[in-house]
Amino acid sequence: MTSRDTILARLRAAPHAAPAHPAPWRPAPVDDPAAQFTARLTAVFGTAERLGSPADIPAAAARYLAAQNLPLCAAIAAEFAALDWEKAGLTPLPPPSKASVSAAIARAQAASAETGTLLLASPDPEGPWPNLLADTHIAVLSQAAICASFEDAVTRRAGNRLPRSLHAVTGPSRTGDIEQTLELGAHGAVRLHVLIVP
Amino acid sequence: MTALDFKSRAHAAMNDAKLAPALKRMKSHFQTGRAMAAARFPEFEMLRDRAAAIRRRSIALMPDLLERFEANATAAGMQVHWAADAAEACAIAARICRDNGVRRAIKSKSMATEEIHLNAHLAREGIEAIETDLGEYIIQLRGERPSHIIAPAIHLSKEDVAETFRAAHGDLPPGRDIAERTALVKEARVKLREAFLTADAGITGANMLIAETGTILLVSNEGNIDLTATAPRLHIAIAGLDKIVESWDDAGIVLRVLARSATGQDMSSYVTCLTGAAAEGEAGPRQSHIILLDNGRSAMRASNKAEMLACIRCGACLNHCPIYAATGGHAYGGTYSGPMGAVLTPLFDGLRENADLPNASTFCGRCQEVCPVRIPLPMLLRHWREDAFAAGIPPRGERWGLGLWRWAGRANWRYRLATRAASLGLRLTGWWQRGTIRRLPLAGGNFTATRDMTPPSGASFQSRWKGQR
Ligand code: SF4
Repeated sequence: MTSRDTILARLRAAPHAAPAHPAPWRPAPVDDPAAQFTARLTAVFGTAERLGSPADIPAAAARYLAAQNLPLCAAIAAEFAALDWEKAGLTPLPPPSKASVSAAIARAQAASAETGTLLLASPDPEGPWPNLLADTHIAVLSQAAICASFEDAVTRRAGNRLPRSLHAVTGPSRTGDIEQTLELGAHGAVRLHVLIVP
Repeated sequence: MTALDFKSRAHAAMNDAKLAPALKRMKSHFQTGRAMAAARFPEFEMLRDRAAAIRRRSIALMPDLLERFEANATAAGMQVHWAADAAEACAIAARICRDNGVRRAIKSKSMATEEIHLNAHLAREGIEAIETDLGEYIIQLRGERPSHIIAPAIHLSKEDVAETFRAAHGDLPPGRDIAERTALVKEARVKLREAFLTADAGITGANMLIAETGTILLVSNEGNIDLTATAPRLHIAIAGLDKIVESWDDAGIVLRVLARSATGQDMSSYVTCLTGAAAEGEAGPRQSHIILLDNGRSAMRASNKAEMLACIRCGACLNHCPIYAATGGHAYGGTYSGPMGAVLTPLFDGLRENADLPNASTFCGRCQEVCPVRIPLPMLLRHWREDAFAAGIPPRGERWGLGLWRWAGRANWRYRLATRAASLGLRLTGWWQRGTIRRLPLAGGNFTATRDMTPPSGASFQSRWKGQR
């Protein structure tokens, strides 16, 4: 007998009565998901800005980096390469594929307003790297991609064919492991800024 | 370890001047965090009820759900292994590493791998395993065990951590200031980033296994799990059988009570959902494995401690336990500590060796009150006390004392006589010691060493009860 058979046999030898399956739960819908997303993200040390048009992305990103006193350079996702970065004074860097980078700008394909959560996925052109390998992660998010809940965001992004990895990211990386005191930027992004576009 | 070791370890811990402030900080931080998170989420209690039902349903349907998980995970491209005990799980992990030429693995915090002592096993096979959760990394460098399931280095100060990094990081310039926490976190970030990008394999635990899609779900705050499971070319997850849940809807409900109970967050900073293996050109490893670990869980499920399998390892019971707050986690002597550890450790490491643990509780009930999945921890500890008594483990004096008590309690007149005699004795002692009992020699002296006692006054409960009726 394999361990699999032994384990399953042991489990089946002790039948238990199962309680009924509890109903699923979703948060009540809100009028302005983008506003709720921003409020929840801000509560966990992230920031967000609503832009009038995708053309405003370079200027907004440069403004954010300058305000943080950071160098005006970032890895730009291919999707946004054609925008006028030069005019914004921002120097494009190669995208972070398995190498650390100071800042990265890429699209997040879905989000949850309930907790201010972004959803990144392995088949995204940049995968989860903009968050995992950049010190500063600037995510571009369409307003229509902001769902009411984590579950809805997963469904929106993945449908019924789940990718190898989904990464739900809520605020910058953090740790309380030294003296129970919050520090940002343990392993993932130290700063998380979201540009919400129409 | 001797049978009475908890007592001496607890004693040492309580005399440790550095531990007390750390535990105090932990208590206020975690307790307030949870209370605030619960207060701003009106559905919290209702979702706790649902989470409790979900976890119990998962235990009941465990064999079917595990088979469903296996089928769906396999279909998605993951390799599923079953391990009956710690030795088998370690052997499977080592074999996968050997077959794939893995010399260096990065690890995210996993209590299951602590439980089976995986790192030591891999080291014997010549495979280096580097912990990446900051707290776990610190204690790995120090050669210690975690003292809290979600904050493994809770017993250390920033000075301790600085000293540890100085000793371990040979390339750290002596002049570099790492006195502050921010500098320490940065030092670890830089050091471990290199490890993430060069390791051959990533090893993680699992917070939940979702049967309907064969998905492994993990939570963290640092992002180290995402890197561990995504950056190397090979991923191995090790999960207790108890991690199984039926659906994504179930997982969503458990997530909502887990983050709030553990750290007072509405959502953990990172929730990582892994299904199958990466396709060509997709981020992530092309090969992924999961080891389903029994190691006593199927036996627990068949016992009167089956409800313990509902545990989602949030740590709330530790954070609210007066015993844990006084002794810290190391006193418990096992992988798990606090009330949940007192239930689990006798199971993994033997009751006779840990006979003190079920007694390491005042039965105040705070743990059960805050447990997100409403596990009756005091009752499970009582079951262990009964088991210990039945196995003849408590010392002879204690067993005789309890036997005498039982004998007295089984006849009304004997009980009345005994309590009257005791009451009279205490009143006389009080009178003799001028109003307050400061010494009670028959109780061994310990009881009155740190407290005084007022002598009984007025009528006994029994006689008043009689009068009321
Ligand atoms: S027993 Fe309950 S409170 Fe304790 S760790 Fe497990 S789930 Fe959390």
